[in-house]
Amino acid sequence: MRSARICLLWISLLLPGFASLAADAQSLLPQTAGGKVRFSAMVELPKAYLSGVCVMVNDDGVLKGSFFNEFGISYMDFSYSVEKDKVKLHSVQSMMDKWYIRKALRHDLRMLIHQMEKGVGEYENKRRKMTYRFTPLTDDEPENLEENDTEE
Amino acid sequence: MRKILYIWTVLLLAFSDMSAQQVDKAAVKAKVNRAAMEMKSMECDFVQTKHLKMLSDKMVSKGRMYYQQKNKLRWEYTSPKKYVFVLNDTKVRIKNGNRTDVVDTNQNKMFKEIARIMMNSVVGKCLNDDKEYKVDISASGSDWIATLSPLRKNMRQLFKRIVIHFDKQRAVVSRVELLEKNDDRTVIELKNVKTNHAISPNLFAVD
Repeated sequence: MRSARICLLWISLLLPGFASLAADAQSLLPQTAGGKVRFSAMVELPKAYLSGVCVMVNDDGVLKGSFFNEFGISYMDFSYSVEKDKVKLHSVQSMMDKWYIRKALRHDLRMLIHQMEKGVGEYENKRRKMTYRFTPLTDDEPENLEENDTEE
Repeated sequence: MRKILYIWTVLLLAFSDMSAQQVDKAAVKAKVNRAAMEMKSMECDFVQTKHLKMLSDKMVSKGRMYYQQKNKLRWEYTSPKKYVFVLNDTKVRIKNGNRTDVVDTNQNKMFKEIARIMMNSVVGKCLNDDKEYKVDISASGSDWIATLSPLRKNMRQLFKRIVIHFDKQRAVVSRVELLEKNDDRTVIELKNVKTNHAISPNLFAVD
């Protein structure tokens, strides 16, 4: 009986620790200072979409991100303060640089980051009908395109 | 006396050589235009390096490019992300992962700009675009360097300047640098350039 109690105590003490570790392992965001994660990123709008690459860096508790298209042309630079739970937009491409777009982006990026902390790289803003999909990129992707693409 | 004559001759030769190094803008444009006209097709590998000012970081992408006169361009990224951009006259086909879209550049301002920048930079056509860019040309080593400052508002909002390097011998583009308003810089280097080789028309199919 006593050993069962000790066992339960150990489980109750260790479980939160394991749960926290599991949450960290799931997070898609760079966890350590100086850490970097690159995403294949897509923002779907009702009549169009933005696609490209988003690079996120953990800069001592501030998450800094740059989102640009495949040709390297920037969409936006942003940062997210973990402490304040707030997104700041540092630059936004002129075509999108309107106050209401900035407001929507600040909100949606914050929600997306919350999702990414849980290991989900997707956020849907149902009111504005916008979907954000961020998938981590790896360095070792195969070099060749699918055959059906090059031999259309 | 002979010594003085010798020194003068050497100096004259040196100065004439220096003047030969000076860039005659019209002559460079003419050479680039001629090379562009003679270039029926081109294919090469490219390495694109995006320098991210805010992150003090860079990202390297690689791929292959195909061009065919007139107005046919295939810009194919193979690493780290697969992405294919095909321009065929006014139509653009984009293959992005499992998604394929066909866009008419006449109806999409953004793609019209991208298609125009890529096509005109790669072939060197933008040197003639006096309404679009103020063009300065200099020489360095084996390259002519054209620095293009955008004149139109929508281009000025995107780029501070575009710098294009041309190989002097072949008068073809070897490197393109795009300097953005947020001080990010994208450098595209063209490697293993082959010109006037047969390219399968299928590579430019958009429908």
